Amino acid sequence: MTELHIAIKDLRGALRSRFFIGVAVFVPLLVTALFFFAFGGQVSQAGKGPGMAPVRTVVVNQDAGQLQLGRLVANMLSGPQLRDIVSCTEVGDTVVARRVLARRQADVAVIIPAGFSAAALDSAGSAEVLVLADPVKTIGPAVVQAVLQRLLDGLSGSKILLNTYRSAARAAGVVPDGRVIAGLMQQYQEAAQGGGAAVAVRAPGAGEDVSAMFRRMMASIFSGLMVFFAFYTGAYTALSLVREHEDGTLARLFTVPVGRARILGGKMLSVVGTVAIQAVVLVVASTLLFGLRWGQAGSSALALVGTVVASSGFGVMLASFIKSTRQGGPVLGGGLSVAGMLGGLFTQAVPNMPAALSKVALALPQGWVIRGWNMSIAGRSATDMLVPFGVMLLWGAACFAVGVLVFRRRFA
Amino acid sequence: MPDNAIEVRDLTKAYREVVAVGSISFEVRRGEVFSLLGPNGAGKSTAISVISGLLQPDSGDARVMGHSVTKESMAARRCMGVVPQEVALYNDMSARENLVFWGRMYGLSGRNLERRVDEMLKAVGLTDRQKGRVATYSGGMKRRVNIAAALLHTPQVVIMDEPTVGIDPQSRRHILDYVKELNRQGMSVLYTTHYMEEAEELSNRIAIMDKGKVIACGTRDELVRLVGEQARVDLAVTGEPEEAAEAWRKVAGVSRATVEQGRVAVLAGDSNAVVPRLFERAAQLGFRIGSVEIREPNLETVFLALTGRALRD
Repeated sequence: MTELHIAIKDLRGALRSRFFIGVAVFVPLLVTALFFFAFGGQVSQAGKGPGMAPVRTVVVNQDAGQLQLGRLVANMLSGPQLRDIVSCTEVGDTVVARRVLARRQADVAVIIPAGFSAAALDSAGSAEVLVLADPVKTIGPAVVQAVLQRLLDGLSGSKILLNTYRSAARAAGVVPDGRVIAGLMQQYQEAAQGGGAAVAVRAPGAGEDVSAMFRRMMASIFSGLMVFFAFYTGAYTALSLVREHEDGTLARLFTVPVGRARILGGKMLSVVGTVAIQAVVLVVASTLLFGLRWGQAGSSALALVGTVVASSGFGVMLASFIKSTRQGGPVLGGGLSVAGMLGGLFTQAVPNMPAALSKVALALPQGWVIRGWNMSIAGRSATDMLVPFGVMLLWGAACFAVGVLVFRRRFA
Repeated sequence: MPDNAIEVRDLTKAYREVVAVGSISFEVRRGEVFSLLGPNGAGKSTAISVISGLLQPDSGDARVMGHSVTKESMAARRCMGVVPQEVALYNDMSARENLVFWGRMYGLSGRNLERRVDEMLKAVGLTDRQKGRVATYSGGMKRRVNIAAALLHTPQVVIMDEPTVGIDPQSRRHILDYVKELNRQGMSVLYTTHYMEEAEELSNRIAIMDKGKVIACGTRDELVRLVGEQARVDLAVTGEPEEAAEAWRKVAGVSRATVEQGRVAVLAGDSNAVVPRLFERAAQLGFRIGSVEIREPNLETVFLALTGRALRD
């Protein structure tokens, strides 16, 4: 019971500390929120939760040709298939489009020039669409350009089809029929938009909505932050032993009729309890606030327990080498940042990292903890998680043993 | 039940080469206030740290209510309450929360704990401020909570390490009166101080410590008798006080003359006879005496006589 009283006292102290709450809970959530909004999470899609915001696009269609290919492009941009990606509005002329863009009421303006259809169908001509963009926007214009490129590639294909039809008609001594040409163009565009494709590419995640992919990516980023701050909390809480030593309360504790091993046990219990509360709060808060997905319940529970054990043990070990609270700031900040970087906490969302870095990461507890979370987020089962979970426990136990040994030599 | 609340025998504690406490022995009788008096660095706090179980002695032992602090440390700690020199409380907790926590550490629980906390808050006059965070308290209030935390389990022995250092006179008075009250309630008190007045006012017996040794031990009167009925004469002189002290050491009736903070302190058996001779010798050597103060024998005189230094040095 004495250990529990000491742990509760420390927990209460931690929960009353605005600095601690700020660093342990609000900072990781805040950084995630910044990532979330930076990558377009402001808009909440009805019934889907937060996701990528559609690119606000204005279209000026000046094409008045017989086939009205400009109308075709404008309709496709505002069609239901692109509704989640592009939010399209038509305006009357280029001046209005530029004004809307300048006022940042739109991210992209698409100008379809007069004569677009004629140029597109002329065997020697070349049709062009002008894309204007807010210079500070990068992702939105790139998305619209990619969509347009796909549409215009379709037009190029239909142009080849048209030329083939004209050549065949000429060879047969027949005058090309405008209605036949319009029908062919319509069929080609429908085929180019995915209907009955002869060849299709399938990839993992294909078919998953944009919002789910986005949340998976955010979970990956947030798990790195969460693990970093869990390790920070472990060390910061363990540092309370040094703090109590300086304040004289540890010496006083050693005069009460309680063994020193039990007093140290109570302090260690408080470290585990504080990290556990922090990890649970972060997982729950990120799920509720950002809709992050952490994988199967069993897998994420193993990752959570592993995080608590490994970060508590590592924190106790790190704190045991700190002589004073003045040393604490630089050692905690520097040591944990370096270990976090080497452990891959800040780069694990980056694809194709060098293999050497991945190997280095596995030489640190941080590397194994983040590996566990990545597996859980990727939907791996609890059985698949047993190896990283076991390594996390081993790391935690080993670090914990070293830390307690050093503390006992110092204070017992 | 043992006659002595605390027994210290041949206690030695060194920090590497430095001997903080060298083979000291004394006992605190049941029901008495016993003071360890000495300047800073005399070894008082080290002695108390060993007795309270905070440090292991290099040799020797101490017993608290018959329990060895080295072999039966838990039993010894249950019998005593330790008031550390520095305030050792949790600043982010209220006085009540602190007392509840320390009470639990002493094994109290439930209604008994709540009752004792209420009693101690009342005893130190902090019932009204019990819910305020300790960080917001004045130095004197913190000191009072610091004392209360050591008394929750109603110990038979209270060990107080310079509890009045750095506080205002009013709080100091409050603490001294409270120590007397504890003693009236039957508690044995081991009190360390470098204030002679506190030791004289509180103590049944006093041990004077210097450089890790107990150099004298007894009641105030017994200690004073060690140096005879010598009075202390403090003189302010023009010129070099060292030269004046050197000259006055040879004056008949002077047993010791030292310089302290620019003044010459002279010990003399018959101050009425000696003071005129001091003036006479000063005139011969061309010194002028600016002021003279004659003090009756006290612990300061004893310390000066035994060590050649003032207690406050």
